Amino acid sequence: MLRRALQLGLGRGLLGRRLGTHRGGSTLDQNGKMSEIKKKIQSVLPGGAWNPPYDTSYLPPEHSDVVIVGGGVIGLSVAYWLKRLEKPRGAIRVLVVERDHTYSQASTALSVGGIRQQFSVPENIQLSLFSVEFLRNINEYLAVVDDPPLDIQFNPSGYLLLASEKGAAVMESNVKVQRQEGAKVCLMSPEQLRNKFPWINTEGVALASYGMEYEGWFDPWCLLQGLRRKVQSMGVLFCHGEVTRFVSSSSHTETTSGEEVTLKRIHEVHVKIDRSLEYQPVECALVINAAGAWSGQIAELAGVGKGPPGTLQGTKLPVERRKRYVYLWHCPQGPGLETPFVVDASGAYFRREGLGNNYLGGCSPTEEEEPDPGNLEVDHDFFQDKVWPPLAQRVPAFETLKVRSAWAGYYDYNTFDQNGVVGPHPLVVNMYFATGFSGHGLQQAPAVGRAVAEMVLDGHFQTINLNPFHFSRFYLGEKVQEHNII
Amino acid sequence: MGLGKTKPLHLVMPVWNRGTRGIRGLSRAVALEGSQKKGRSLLQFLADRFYDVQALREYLLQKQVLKVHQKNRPFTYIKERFGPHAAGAYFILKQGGAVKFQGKEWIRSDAHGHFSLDFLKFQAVPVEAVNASGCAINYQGLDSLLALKELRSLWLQRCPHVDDWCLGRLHPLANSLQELSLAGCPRISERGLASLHHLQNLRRLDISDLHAVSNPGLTRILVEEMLPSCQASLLGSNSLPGPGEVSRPGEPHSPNPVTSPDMATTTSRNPALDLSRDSKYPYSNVLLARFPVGHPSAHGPLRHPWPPLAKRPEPPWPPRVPANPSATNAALVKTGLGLCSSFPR
Repeated sequence: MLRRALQLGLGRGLLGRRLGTHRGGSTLDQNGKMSEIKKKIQSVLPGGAWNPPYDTSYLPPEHSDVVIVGGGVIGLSVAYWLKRLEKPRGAIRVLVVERDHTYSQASTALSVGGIRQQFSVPENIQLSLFSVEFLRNINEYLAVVDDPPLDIQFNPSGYLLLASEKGAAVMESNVKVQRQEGAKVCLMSPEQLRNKFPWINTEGVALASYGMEYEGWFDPWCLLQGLRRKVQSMGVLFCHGEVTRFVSSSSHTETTSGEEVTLKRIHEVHVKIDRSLEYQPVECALVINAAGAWSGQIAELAGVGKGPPGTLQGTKLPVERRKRYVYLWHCPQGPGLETPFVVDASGAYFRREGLGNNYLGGCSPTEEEEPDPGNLEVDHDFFQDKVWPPLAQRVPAFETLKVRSAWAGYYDYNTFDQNGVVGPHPLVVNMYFATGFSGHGLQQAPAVGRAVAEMVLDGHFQTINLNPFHFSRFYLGEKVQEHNII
Repeated sequence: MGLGKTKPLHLVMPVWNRGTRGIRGLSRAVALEGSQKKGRSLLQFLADRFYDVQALREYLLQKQVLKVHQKNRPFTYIKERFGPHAAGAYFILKQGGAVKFQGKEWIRSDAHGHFSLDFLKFQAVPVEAVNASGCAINYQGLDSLLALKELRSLWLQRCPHVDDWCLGRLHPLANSLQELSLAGCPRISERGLASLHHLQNLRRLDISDLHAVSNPGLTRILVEEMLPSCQASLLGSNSLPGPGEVSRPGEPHSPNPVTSPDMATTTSRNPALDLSRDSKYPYSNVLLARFPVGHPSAHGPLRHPWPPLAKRPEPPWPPRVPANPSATNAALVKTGLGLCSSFPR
């Protein structure tokens, strides 16, 4: 109808022009312009293809309810659970901002991929148990119609933690807590160890705890891609960019003790597009900090920790990047198919990789010998000095081995108590944390994602209570110390 | 009866295919590259374009999954009233398997799924052998089996939902289990077999026809090293299943239609042609392979077009020197870098 009116109008226009004085080419000019205008109007009408003047598909949307900073396994897990638990369907717009789509420095991709329940903090054990259940039923949780099922290549071989005389009592009490929470862990004496794993040298080992079920290792890349695929099918938007600024508003209030605090609310997130100076301000309601090793920087951008030290205002997020090395070696006479993920009392660990007598392993350095986290270069001397001797002492077959390759990755290390930070910040009211897991983030990711989604949607935790992991413990000084950090 | 029942290769409405068991039904469609384009069904076309149709397909997928869960529910009343052995036996019979109590004959349900409840009277008689071949038993369903503390032999041949996680659960049976058969289970890989080292009393292990195992010969060697007193076999089961097993006419479509020996069992009901049972024919798998293309293993794209032949196992070490080694290659081989299995990075 509009088209007919246009045609009539055009017709009249032409007629009108002809009656008056006109120059020769103006009718053609009118025709050309008119057809352009006609095309534009047709494209705006419903049913036509909209051709904007230039392509903006790489930019994030201008409005988003939740912006998740960081597209690793924790960020994607939060996005998944937000979309899964939201009511009604499609209610929440989620945007995941990831700086590096190749995940070249992401902790998830560089992880050794183990999952265990042998922790000392009950919440960690619960998180791990939930995550194991998630991984076991991964093809029910992350099923996308018409896509092939996921194979995370889980090895149910268990973890074997060895303890010397000093740590035997702590290990016993830990195992008691673990069994109470439902983990299937058993204690073994050195003699039972020798019977079961004859390749172990039990000198110096007083006690060992062995996970019979729900423990092992898997392929973290597959989990990441599975989450990505599912989350995209659920309608989460992805943006390839970096968060450079938070635009927030603040208001001053007084606490009950009379202290002046500044409450902040983030209104906009400036996302700078990769390899460009262009940025897009994304108006958002919530920001979730799942940036892993870089969470400290994101928190600083949001104003966390800007204040006099010793106050809540001035408490920074104590998560920093720590570099860890992983080495892959071949040992022809090494332990066989039944090798669990062995963690020695000295902190050195190894696990079997594949069927060809290859092993992955490493060791966490002490505080004094922490390497510089500026880059991901591997220090091979570290293997010679710190990893090989304890492993060769524990497994005599490892005296002859050949290192095939090595890589380094970051831990999002929580310098306060090596446990995760989950939940909102008390002052920056719409920033939620899901970071600081210090090497066990991958194995807790599905459960942490659910916990954060419950916090966002319901205001409190429902399945697993992660209140002990709140940010305020840094100010209050209440450590939730995790002893079994590998 | 469904269109896709006898020909699992066609993509015609896999959702409506009542014979499709488990959640593999829909995903199986994607693994078949050749027929993908021509077999695209109307439902798939609509699902790509409309959220409602996609939601419908997801719902139907969920229903398939729930059906399997329902089959594996625990029978707590029977367990409390009649004991764990009776409950385990009831569970297996309900799934369509066979049970043998100590000192008694094999009990199996008939063509219509009915079985006599006489075994509920054997209160304290333990279950000695369980034949759950082809049953839709999964991780939850194993609860009932793990309570059978004196189980001697367990046959889980061609069970479509038994995977590596389930194998990690078998350790409570370590004291009694002597024979285990996992032949033809599509989801079991060498990673799950590694957790069998708890079963120290195991004497016979059948790991033939496992499509998800990447290197069957090497795996067999490693398993035998892991369990010194156990004999692992790759060439089909040496011990025949119970005397009561015949192909059931009421079930024209087996739970895992892809594995060839099963097709032979159901389509040719002639026991003489049933070559998979007879260990005289080591290449029975090859002879019975009627579907050379399209064995979608549960883990995505195809590994072998034919079921793997039992090859002489190759040791991973020492590395093989190639025919014409150049100087650099020889140097590499000498230092051991010439041999490279797949590394994660």
